[in-house]
Formats: sequence, structure tokens, C-alpha cells
Amino acid sequence: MKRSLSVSVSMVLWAATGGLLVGAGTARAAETAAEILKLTDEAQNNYQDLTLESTMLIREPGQQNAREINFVTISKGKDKRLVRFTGPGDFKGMGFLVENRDTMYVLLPAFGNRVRRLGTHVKAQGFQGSDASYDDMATTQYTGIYEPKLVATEADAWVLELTLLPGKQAESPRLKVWVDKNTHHQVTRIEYYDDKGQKQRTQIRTNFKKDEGNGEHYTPEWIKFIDHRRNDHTTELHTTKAQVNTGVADDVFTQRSLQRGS
Amino acid sequence: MTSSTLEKPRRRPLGTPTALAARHPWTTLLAFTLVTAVAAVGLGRLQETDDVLEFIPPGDPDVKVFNDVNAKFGALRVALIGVEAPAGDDVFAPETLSRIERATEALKSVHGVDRVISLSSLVDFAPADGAVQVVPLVPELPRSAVDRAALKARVLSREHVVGSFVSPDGRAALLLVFLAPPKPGTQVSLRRVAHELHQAAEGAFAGGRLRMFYGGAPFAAATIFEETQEDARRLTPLAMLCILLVIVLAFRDPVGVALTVLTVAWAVVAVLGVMGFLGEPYTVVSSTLPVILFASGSSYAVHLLGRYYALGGRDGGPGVVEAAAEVVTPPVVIAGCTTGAGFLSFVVMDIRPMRTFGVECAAGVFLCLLAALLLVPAVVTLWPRRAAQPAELGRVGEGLKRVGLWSVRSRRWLLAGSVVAALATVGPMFEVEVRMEPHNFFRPGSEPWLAEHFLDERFGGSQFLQVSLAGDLTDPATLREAQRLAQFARAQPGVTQVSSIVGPLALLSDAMGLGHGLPETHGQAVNLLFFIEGEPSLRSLLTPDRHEALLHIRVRGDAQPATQAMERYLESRHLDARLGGRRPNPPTDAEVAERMGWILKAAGVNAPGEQTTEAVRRLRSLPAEDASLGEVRRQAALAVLRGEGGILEPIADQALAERIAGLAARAFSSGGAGGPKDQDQAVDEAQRALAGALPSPEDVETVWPGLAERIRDADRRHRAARAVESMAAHHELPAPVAAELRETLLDLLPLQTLGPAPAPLVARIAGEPVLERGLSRSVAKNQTRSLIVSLVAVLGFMFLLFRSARLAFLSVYPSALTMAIVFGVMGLGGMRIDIGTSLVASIATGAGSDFAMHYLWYLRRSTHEEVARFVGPIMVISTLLVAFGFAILGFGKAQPMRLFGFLAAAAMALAAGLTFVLVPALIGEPGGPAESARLGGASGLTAQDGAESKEMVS
Repeated sequence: MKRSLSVSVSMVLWAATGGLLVGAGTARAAETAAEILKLTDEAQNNYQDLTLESTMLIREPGQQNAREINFVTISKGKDKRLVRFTGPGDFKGMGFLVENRDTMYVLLPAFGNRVRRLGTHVKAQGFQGSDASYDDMATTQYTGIYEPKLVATEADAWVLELTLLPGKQAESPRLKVWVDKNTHHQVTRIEYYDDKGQKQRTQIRTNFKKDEGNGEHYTPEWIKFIDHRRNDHTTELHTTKAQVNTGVADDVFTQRSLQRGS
Repeated sequence: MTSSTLEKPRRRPLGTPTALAARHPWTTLLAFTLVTAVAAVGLGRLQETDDVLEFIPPGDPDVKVFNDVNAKFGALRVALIGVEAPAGDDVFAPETLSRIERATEALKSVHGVDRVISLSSLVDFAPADGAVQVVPLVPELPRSAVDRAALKARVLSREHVVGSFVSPDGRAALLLVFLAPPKPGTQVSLRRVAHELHQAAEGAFAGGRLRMFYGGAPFAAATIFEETQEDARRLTPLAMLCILLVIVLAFRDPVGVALTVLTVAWAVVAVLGVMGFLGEPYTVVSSTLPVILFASGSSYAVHLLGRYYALGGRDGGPGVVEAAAEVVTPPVVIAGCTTGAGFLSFVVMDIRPMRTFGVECAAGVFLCLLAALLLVPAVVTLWPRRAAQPAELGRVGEGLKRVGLWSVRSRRWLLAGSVVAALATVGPMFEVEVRMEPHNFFRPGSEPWLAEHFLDERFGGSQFLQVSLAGDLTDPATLREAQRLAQFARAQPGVTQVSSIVGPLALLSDAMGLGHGLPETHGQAVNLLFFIEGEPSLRSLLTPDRHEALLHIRVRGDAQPATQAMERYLESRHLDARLGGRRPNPPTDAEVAERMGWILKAAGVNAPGEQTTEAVRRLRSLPAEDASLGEVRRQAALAVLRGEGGILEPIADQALAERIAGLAARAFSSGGAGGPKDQDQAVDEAQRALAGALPSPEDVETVWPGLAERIRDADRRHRAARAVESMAAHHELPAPVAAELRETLLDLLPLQTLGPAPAPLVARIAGEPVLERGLSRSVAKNQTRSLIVSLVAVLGFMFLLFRSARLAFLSVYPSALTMAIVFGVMGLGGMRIDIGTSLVASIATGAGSDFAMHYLWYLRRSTHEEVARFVGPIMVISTLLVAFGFAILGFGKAQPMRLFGFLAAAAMALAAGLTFVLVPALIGEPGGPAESARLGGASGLTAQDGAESKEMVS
């Protein structure tokens, strides 16, 4: 059964894939939709390890104050992820270790610092009522999943329409993606459409900055998720620090490391 | 017609509006055409609103709580879609599950939907292989009968699912669609969302064997709005037809008929046009405006035309219409004022759309009057009509004359009888209950009605009582107070299910291998909540700031007894918001015993209080060094050392693990023979041994607290189990009941020290039963207020007309008696007043008094006999118009309007009947000028009018 369920446990997957919201590479001339998409995919996956400090801001309609959740995500390779929550006070000390998409460990500081293994096959629709889905963050590349078509060329961006390939599964059957021409093939905007062509959500990425460290890697300072179905309910992700290829050791990704908080 | 007896009407001096219109007919027609054209523009701007929630009065304290809770938890933004499998089947068939999944996805795609919860979107936390599996509740479609049976058994074993998303017998399932709150400053059409949800669900379930049900506020609101709209479309032409028929039968003049209808139609267009310009929305009640105006606004033209025909029409010579207007205008204007006042009295109501509706109706009535006095004269001046009076009216007049004479003869009996009737109604009248049950708005057979029956039959009730809790919902003592409240609620009559934040917390704690209890520290609560905050179903139980929670109590049947019990409970616990709330304390022995009693009562086990008290006593008195306890502790330690519980990596050396377990068990044998010193020594030994077994000895500090907690937890669970066993000797306790009793007892042996809550817990009762109570109170208050305003206004207008308090009183007496009789009969018949029927009193006081006023007005100019014979038929026509007009509403689909229509029609007919019977009796012996003088009338018109009237019926 295709799933798109809302479970906060999957936050770890969500947060851990924050590093995928990046771009790298050079602004090469691209002529076809497939070429543009390929360059975009390359830009998103160009790192060995990545450390991001982020704040998620969840804004309820009509409310000025947003709920804030702060966390650090350390990623290495395709699978290894460690997430530590640094705020608010209630969440501070909690953490996750992701072994793979289906298995993770959670640290429960209030229960004698216990670590529990969580087996999950559930995709997250949202974390803490946010508008970002697991698919938003976990999709590391579009090539091979979507068929691209160049539908417009704007002054600063190519607009690709991506249609889900037969036999492939994703939350949205059709996407419209804006790829910036000037800044290293960054995806600056994604619109998600349902099978009837109705726009369901929009993701806007702004203020790309080159990450600290040894690599050509760019992270958007702000990502805004808007769910139009929820009357434009909004979630923002603010990345305050991004470091790439700093030589994160493998033993960071162990249960013991999780438990000891180091 | 014997024209020789008829004095030629003389040309009246120019000065009255009617005369002006008659002198300048083309200008008048042009003015009306212009107004119509402008109104048509406004009509184009008219915005409709389907928000029936606007009918909830904001001022009532109960309603305030309801609105507040609804705003926070969105109770009124939940659409329920039910599916029922055919008899002998269940919803676990692969095809059904697949359809539920498709529907869930389709519903989620509808704009305005925040979240959808169904069997296919729910997750399950299940401990497996030392881990917590977070899996879909329905991970995949069953491939065989065995799979299907296993899935059914698993789903039906989940407390938080059964009764909420699947019926206990598995035959029905519910999809809950939570609508997103609208963006500030915008309006979302509930009807549009409901329509799209309906389409999405129908699309997913099309062609299946499942029965579909659509309930909840969005569908209910859409149904009420659509049925009212349909009524307006269907009934307005019917009302027009009815009026046409009555007037055709009365006047036999197509132009007269068309004119009467035109006056009302013009008024309707003008009112709606002004509403469009003012930005006043077209609401559910506005749609009844045309029918109501046809009922109450058509009689003015009828009176004028009736008099016009009576004076001979075009055969009456020039100025006949002015002559007719001169006699008719004063009573017709007063009639317009009294009827308008009846509607205008709605402005004292605390429901905004009703206030607006009152103004709309009153404006409509005045415009009908204006059109009758200006448009009709202009048209008949341009195209004079022949007098056409059927003989039947003469017979009606003769009949009324006989009634009047009989009435005068029997005046003492009649008056005495009317007083007795009035007195007899006093008792039953006060018996009439004002009860606003929102579900009574649903037409039998309509979608919300079917959904309600479906929920009653399959899910244990369709009404939800809610308790809003404000406090620190991460505090252990507060959570236990909430749990106590839930346990009390479950033991109340009619309560079939209680859900609150404590359920998911306990479930998650259990799945995490932390025990099926509530958290004992703030940190534990936060750790657990982290996993489920944002989970769709939790958002209706707890606010994101964790400062407010909602207890949902499902009730079957009358919810008032449970509501009252909950209110008494909150008051006795000092949790009631009116008392300021109270800081919860950790539970005492007596309180836990009481809670155990409620658990047993809810399970249908009748246990005397002594038994639960005895169980608590046993929990406390189990010897600390009970032989079995030592082994329990050792086994718990051993499990931890084997890696269970995620406290440490398994210790491979079995013998070492056994030794550490023994030491650890001894370390926690509090009260042992060796005393504290021996215990400290055992702790040291155990920690040293453990440090030696760990990869890094310093890790002992990290893992020791977890090990200690597991041992102490096993200890207390063993004690609780033994205590509950003592009860099993008296009763056969089902396993879930015994488990709940054990968990409740654990509150007396917490692993962490439970202190008083840091903040008070404040509780407020909300939910449909409370809304119903607030609405009922509001309707009763509105009815009384509007009736008083209407009565005072009508008396004032009558006094203005007659300059006589006595005549003013006599004008109102028949309609007042009518209302007394109507409400007395309602009281005797056990009928209840709702928002629709509550309007009848003020409308009937206004419009019903007009009959007596007209009668008395003409009686000042003529005798009983003449009034009955010559004016009576016109009054009968207008009575029929009003009564038929209102009765037509009774044939609509909208439930609130049905009873209103029939009741208003009956009241109007009765008021007219009582006028013909009582007014002659009240006035006394028949007479001519003497009587007229007694009534303060001028005799100037009597001879002429009498002659004209005679001519009319000759």
C-alpha cells in the first residue's frame, strides 16, 4: 500500500535529509530538460559529510508567533544520519540515529537515558504539524523517477515540468521545478500538483550560501513550505550554519555516541 | 349591480401619496422601474453565505466555551464519512480497505482539508524483536482469509481505534476529515469543501457494495443550506401560485392578480438589491424571505383592490382609486406597521443573522405597503379595471354576518369562554420546553440524519460531550487528574467511549516498553509527546503548547444526565472554571480506590467500595521481602542485562549477568533484614560488577538509573498484580479491566516522586449537549424579548390609529389569545419550541392583530352586519393569503421552517377566526351610528361605504 502517514518518529528521516537541500557544481550550459535535471541532481548530492544547524518555524494561520524547533543534523554517505535536538528546552537532549530508511534509534533522556530501536516503514507527512513531508526532503534526485520537460525559460531560471515515470512512486505525480541559471543549478521553487492538476503545495528556497568547509556546496538559508490544501499553512526551515566535508568520523553514528551525547 | 344606490365617488384632493401616484401614474411607474433596475444591480452583488455557525449566539456563557473550544480544537471542522459493509461482511475485505485508502488520499487532496484520519492513515506502535515498530495500522492488503482474520483481530484489539475509526463488530469504518482553519480575513465555503469531499469519497467508493454516510458539521451545514435553498426555489413559485389562485377566485381579474403579485415581487427584489449594496450576505433564513413576504405582504394590495372593486372599478368614475385609498390607507398602513414591528422585534435577538432577517422582512413588508399604495393606483389609473366580484364572496359575507350576530348574542358565554381558555392555557404554556437540538434540524432521511443513526447504531452514539482542560498537560499529577476525570466519565449513564491525551500517552509508553502507565515526570511526558505531536488524531486532543487538552465523551441517547454528572463532579473537585480550578495533587489511597470503583462500574461489574479499598490495602501491605518479589527483581535485572529495554548492550557472559542480577535485586530489597547499610553495600557491589561488564566502566553511571528503574518497576507491578488478584476472588474480571486496575494502582507506587502540579487545572464543559443548552437558553430569551417588543409596538400603533386604549387592547386580544392557545396546545402535546417556532409568537402578534384592527376600523364607520358582509370577505381573503403563505413553508425540507410554517399558518387562521367571533362579542350589541360613536368613529363615510358595500355584494 502506498503510504503517506503523519508520524513524528519520521522526523529523524526528515531532519536527517536536510543536507539534500543543497547544490553544488558549476553553471554549465544546459540545453535539454534531461541535462538540466541531471545537473540539478548532481548539485544536490555533492558531499561526503554534512553538518547543518537548523531551526524549524511552524506557523499556524493567523498566529504571529511560530513554534520553533532547533536541531543539528550530521550526515555521512547515503544512509548515516545523527540528529540532536538543541531546543526548545523540552526537546533538548533528545536525539536520533538513523541506520537506514527503515531503522533508527531514539534516545529517551527522561527514561533513564534509554535508547529504543524504532523500526518504521512510514513516511512522514509532517513533523509537529509542519508542512514539509518526508518526500520533500528525502528525494535526493529526480532523474529516473520523473520525466522532465522544459516548459519555460525565464530570465534567470529554467522551468521544468516533471511527470512521474510509470512504476515509480512519489507523493506528487507532477512537479513544476524552477532551476536557477546563475547559481549552480539550484532549485529555487517547487510546485506539487495532484493527478487532477490542482496545485497542492509549494516549496520556495531562497538565499543560497556556500557551505563552510572543503567543498563546492550550497545551502539555502531559508526554505518555505506552503500547503495550499491547509489554507496556505506555512512552515519555514532556517539553516543557520552549514559545514561540508569536515571529516566526520564513523563512530559518531553509533548508539553509544547517541547515548553519551558526544 | 344597482348603480342608482351608489354615490359617485368624488375626486379627492391631491395630497396623499396614493392620490399623487394616481395623478402621475407614468412618473410613478418610471420611478418603480428605476428602483427595480438599481435593485437588480444590487441583486447581482448579493453574496450568499452557507455558514450556519453564524446562528450560534456568541454571548451565552455555554456557547462562549463551545466556540472557544471549537476554535482551539476544530470540533466543528470535522467531516465524518462512514462506510458500512453489507450484513455478514466487514470492512477488512481487501477491496474495502483499498477503497478506504483511495478515499483517504482523495480527501486529503481537497483544498481546505488539514488532515484525514482513517484505517489507512493510522499508525500502530507495536513492540517487536526488542524494538518499537512504527507501522501502518493496515500495513498491506490481506492476501488470504487468514491474513484478513489476523488483521481484523489486531485492529479490533487497539483501544484507540475501536469505536473511533472502526465499529466494535468491524462492520463499519469512519474517515475523519479535519478542515483547515481559514486564513485570516478570508472565508472558506464549507459547502464547497463538503461538496468536494462528497465527490472524492463517492469517486473512491463508487460501484462498491458499501453504504456511505456523511456526517459532521460541514456536511450538516451544507445539507441545511442546500435544503433551504431548494425550498426557496420550490416553494416561492408555489406560494405565488397559491396567492394567484386565492386572488383569482376572489377578484376574477388577471390584472388585479398580477398587481398583487407584482407588489410583493418588487419588494423582494428591492430588499435583496439593498442587501447586495450593503454587503449583507444572503443567509439560510434570507432564502425564506420571498415566501414570507408573499404570505404577509400581499394583503395590502388586496385590501386596496378589494375596495377599488367595491367602488365599481372603472365604472366608479374618476377618482375611485383615491376614494378607495382614503378609506383603506390608515388601517393598511397600521397593518404594515404592526406586521413590520413583529419582524423588527427580531433586532433584540442575540443571533446576528436573525436580527438581519427581521430587518429584511420588516423592510420587505413596508415596501409591499409602499407598492400597494403607489404602484397599484398608478396602474389602475392608467388601465382602469372592471369591478368583478364573485357571488361566493357575498355568501362568505352573509356567513360572517351570521357569525357576528351569534357572537353578539352569545357574548357573555364567548367572553367567559375566552377567559377560561386563556386561563386554561397558562399551565400548559409554561410546560412548553425550549429545546434546541441541532440534530432535530435534519430531515428524516437526509444525509446528516442517516449519519447520525449510523453513528448511534455502529459507533455507540453520535453526540460528544467535551471537557476542556487548561493546565500543564505535561505534569504527571495533572495527567492523573485528567485520567481520573476520564474514568469517572466512562462510568456515567449513556457514555460509551472516552478519549483523551492519556490514552495515546499510555499506549505509546507501553509500545516503547516503558509500561502502560502515565509518565511520572515532565521530561517523560515530553519525551513521549515528541513522538505523537503532529500526529493528526492528537491535534484534536492537545494544543501544540500543551496547555490545553480536550476530553471527548461519546454519549448515546440523552446526553443531559451525563452532562450534569460531569458538572457536579468538576464542582466537587474544585476544577470548575467558575471556581478558578485547582492544582492537582498526586492521588491518594482513597482516590485510587474510588477510581477503581468507576472502572468496575463502567465494565458492568458491581463491586462494593470495600473491595477496592481492600485491594489498595493489600498493595500497601504486601511484605517488602515477599519471597516472590526477590525473584521478580532478579528477573527484571537479568532482562536488562540481556539487552532488553535499550538500557545497555547485552552482556554476553551469562554467569556474570546472573551474578550482577542477583546483586542488583538485593540492592533494591528495601526494608530487608540487613537494613540500609546492607543495601548500600549491595548497590556498590552491583555497580562494581556492572562496571566490569561494560565496554567502558564509566558507562555505569549512564546505565545504572535505567537498571534501577526497571527493577523497581517490576517490583511495583508485581504488588499491583497481587492486589488485583484479591478482587478476582469476588468477580470475574475481563483482562483489559484487570490491566486498567493494575495500572491505576501503580499511581500509588510511582518510581519518581510525584509532587503537586505547578499550575492549576481548570475544566470547562463543552460539546454538543452544552451548545444545545446555550442555544435553548438563547432561543427562550430571544422569544420573550421579541414578543414583548412586538406586543408593545403593536399596542402603540393601535393606540395611534384608534386614539383609544380600549380599542388598542381589543385589537390585540384575539392574537394574544391565539398565542396562548397555540402554546397551551404545544405544552399539552409535549411539543418543543425551537429557533423556527420561537419566531411565531412575535410575528403572529404583529400580523394576527391586523385582522381585529381592520374589523374595528370599519366598525367605526359601519355596523357589525355591514362590516361582516362587506369587509369580512376581504379579510377572509387576506387571512387565506397569510395562512397559505406560511403553510407552504411547512411543505419544505428544512426542518426548522416546517414547524414554523404550519404553526404560523395555524396561528394566523386562529387569530382571524377569533377576530370574527370575539370582536363582535367584545364590542357588544350591534348598532349603527351609536355604536360607531361609541367606538370613536367618524360617521362621514358610513353611509357611502355601506352603500358601496351593499353594491359590492348585490
